[in-house]
Amino acid sequence: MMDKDFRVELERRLDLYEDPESEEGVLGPLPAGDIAISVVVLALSSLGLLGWCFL
Amino acid sequence: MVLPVSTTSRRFERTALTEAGSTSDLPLLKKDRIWSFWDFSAANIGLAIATWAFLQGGAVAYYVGAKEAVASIVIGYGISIVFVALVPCIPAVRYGIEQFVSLRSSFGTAGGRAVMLVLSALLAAAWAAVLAIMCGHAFANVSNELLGTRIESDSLTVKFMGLTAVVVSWLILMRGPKSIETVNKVVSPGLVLVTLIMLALIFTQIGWSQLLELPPLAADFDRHMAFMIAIELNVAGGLAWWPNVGNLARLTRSARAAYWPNMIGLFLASVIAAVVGAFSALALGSDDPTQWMIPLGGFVLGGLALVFVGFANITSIVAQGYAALIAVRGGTGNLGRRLPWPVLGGLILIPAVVLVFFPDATYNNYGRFVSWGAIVLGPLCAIQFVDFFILRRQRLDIRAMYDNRPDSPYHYTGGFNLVAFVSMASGAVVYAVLLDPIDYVPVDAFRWLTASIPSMAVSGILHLTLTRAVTVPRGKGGLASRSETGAKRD
Repeated sequence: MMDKDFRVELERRLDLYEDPESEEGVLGPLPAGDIAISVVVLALSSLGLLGWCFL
Repeated sequence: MVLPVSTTSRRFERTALTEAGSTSDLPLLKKDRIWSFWDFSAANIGLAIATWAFLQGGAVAYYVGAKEAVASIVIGYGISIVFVALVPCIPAVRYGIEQFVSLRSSFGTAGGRAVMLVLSALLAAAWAAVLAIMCGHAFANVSNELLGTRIESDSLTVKFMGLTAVVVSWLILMRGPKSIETVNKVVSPGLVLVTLIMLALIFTQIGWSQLLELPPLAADFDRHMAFMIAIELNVAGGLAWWPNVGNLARLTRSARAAYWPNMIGLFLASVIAAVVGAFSALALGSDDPTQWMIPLGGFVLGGLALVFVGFANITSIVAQGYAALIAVRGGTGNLGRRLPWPVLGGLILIPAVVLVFFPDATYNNYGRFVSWGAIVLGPLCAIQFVDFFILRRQRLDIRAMYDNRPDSPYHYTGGFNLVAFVSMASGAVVYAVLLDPIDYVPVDAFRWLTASIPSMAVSGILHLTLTRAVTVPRGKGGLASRSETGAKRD
């Protein structure tokens, strides 16, 4: 019974995700700029710390 | 932590469908996404400032002094936490899916399940053993200092205390997520307080300039190689978050709310706690966190802090065990959904029960243990990054993620994406060549490369190349059509 209930609920949710009229669905992607900002900040921090340690 | 309350009467029942909406491998609905940016940040801070951060800091201080410790912790955690913040979290939050479900696009419907199941169970067992032994050490040290006993680090008392910590963790785990949340509400702020007090005591008793002059605990390494080992330890330490964060991130309301709290909470809080750990280890000449509290704070304050840290290990075991429990339950499909929490929790913690009877061998090999995790987790993160962010441009076919039939795009070969497994194995070999995982001895090239970074690069590049050369021409993986369903808010 549990497994059947699970499948039924899964189908219901997948239908909701695919229904353009539904409020449910896939969230927007992470903007590439967010990744770039964190990578640049970490790279600059790393360079700064390396300089502080070894220069 | 955010799941429906398990009442006493339901404790031993199998998971009800009402719980499944927020806890199982069903895609989440809008009402299930209950965490804001700051909720997830707070959860991450609680996760990061745990006793494992002190162990990490102690391990780093073994190789480097204070300045290099700060630099290696920031650089190492920075590299790994960017990947950990991206690959398990963004697919999980975009599609509201469990972390192990998100692995199906890269490793196959059965492969993703196997990877998550094995890694979660092994890492939870290993962490539980290390933390339980740390708990045993804490109480042994309190007894030795306050009662004048002479309990050795590998004595039967320590083994018994470690076993007790595992059993108590299981009892908390058995009572369900609400009890975990209650315990964490007390322990997390307490650990933040202990960390800040330790930092204040170090600076008032030793001072910055004297701290900078203290040598690493192992003074026989050349400085360059020691610094690279410290970076490697921290890359590996950051990768160890992989099993825990995806299922938490899925509860947030946007990709940004799933990503940035990792950088603020997990990265910054881990860095601070590990730096405090490294400073304490350098100042007190021991990499065992349970040896720091009483010399720093005296009998009363230090003793209380040590007892608190001893108990705090239990909450860390529970947090890791809970993540594994969710993964194992989902990964075992119908069987897992039928089993009650106590049985699943017990199964996860059984290997730890064995390991606590070998306290010195387990506890004194923290670096090797973290390294063994990184051998697999680094390549895994690289493969997931290539699959989700480069090959699929953050798009999945959500219906296919739940389709186990042979004609499903993510079925690959018998449910396994062999390209991903070959790429992961190749990365692991590169790692083992650069840093022997058994005796933890690096080759000369390690001083310029580390082990995790080239291993991740090899896995990622190989996966990208083989997927384009083999998988796409065979029409596998759903990459040719790059279908997407329901991306209404893109």
